[in-house]
Amino acid sequence: MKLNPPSADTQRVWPLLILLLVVFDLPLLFTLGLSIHGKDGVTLDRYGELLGTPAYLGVLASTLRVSLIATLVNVLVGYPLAYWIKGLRPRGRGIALACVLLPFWVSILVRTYAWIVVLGNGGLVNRFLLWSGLIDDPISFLYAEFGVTVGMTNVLLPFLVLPLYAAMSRIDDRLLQAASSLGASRWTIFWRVFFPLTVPALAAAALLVFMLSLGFYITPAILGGGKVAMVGNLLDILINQIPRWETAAALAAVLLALTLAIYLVYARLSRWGTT
Amino acid sequence: MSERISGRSMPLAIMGVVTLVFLMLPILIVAPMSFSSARALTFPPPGFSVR
Repeated sequence: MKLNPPSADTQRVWPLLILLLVVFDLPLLFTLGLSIHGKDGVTLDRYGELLGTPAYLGVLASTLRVSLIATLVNVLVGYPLAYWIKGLRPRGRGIALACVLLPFWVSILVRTYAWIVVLGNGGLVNRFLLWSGLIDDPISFLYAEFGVTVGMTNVLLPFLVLPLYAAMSRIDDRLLQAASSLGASRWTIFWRVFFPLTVPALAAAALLVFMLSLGFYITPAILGGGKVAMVGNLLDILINQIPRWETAAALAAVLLALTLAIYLVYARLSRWGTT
Repeated sequence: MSERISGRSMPLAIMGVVTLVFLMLPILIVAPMSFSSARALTFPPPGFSVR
């Protein structure tokens, strides 16, 4: 096939491309520039400071840990939900999908504060446990990683379920029927036919959730109460409380590099999976 | 074809419903609380108010 010379159509794309570059990538470049901007030219001191300070590394590690756990819980809880919704009749499916979508239309702040009412020391869960006699003193779910994980899982679940459900509904039912007519059990059909077909979508959705949770700010800020430090909260401190924008920029750059690295691993894995 | 092959079992249905409730819980809590007469966040609301 001969390559076409750039037509009027391709030329018309340029203004849009430049707009995208200016709007999305210029602020990012400023941030990166700020992180290496020193008194006399380019400096990497901030990165050295970041990587040499255990406190910053600890925050990065706990961010990774909380994000990983939240993603894992999301997958374990979200996959069965998407699978269940797929098997429902159209009417039930509509209701269930509406229930998944509804949280999108309520502010994340409101939803996060609601968890204080549920998980707090005088909250629903603790009062139930006290009433049932299982515990004598309230368990402090809040202001610990547990509360943050629950809140993040709750906020991020629709981001996993919706793409996963879309991918599942695109799977040809005739494949499953063929497997069934060839004598495969339901268990075999699921694990040998259905599940492998959903793995790429599951991986993509899980990656989306993981990347979103790496930069989470509101939920750790409210449910963590300053005790669970994630990168977003550290950035807030570095920018608003002790004004050290350069360090904040460096930290943001490290987070970006980390996210890109994870994405590259995923891209490599998915290419390896298809060939 | 009347019989579906995928996604029809009791444990799955229970898990799905529980997950949906988990997903909706903040909204289910916040909606009645908006009519609460208390000034702080408490549930169940001690009284009704449209303040």
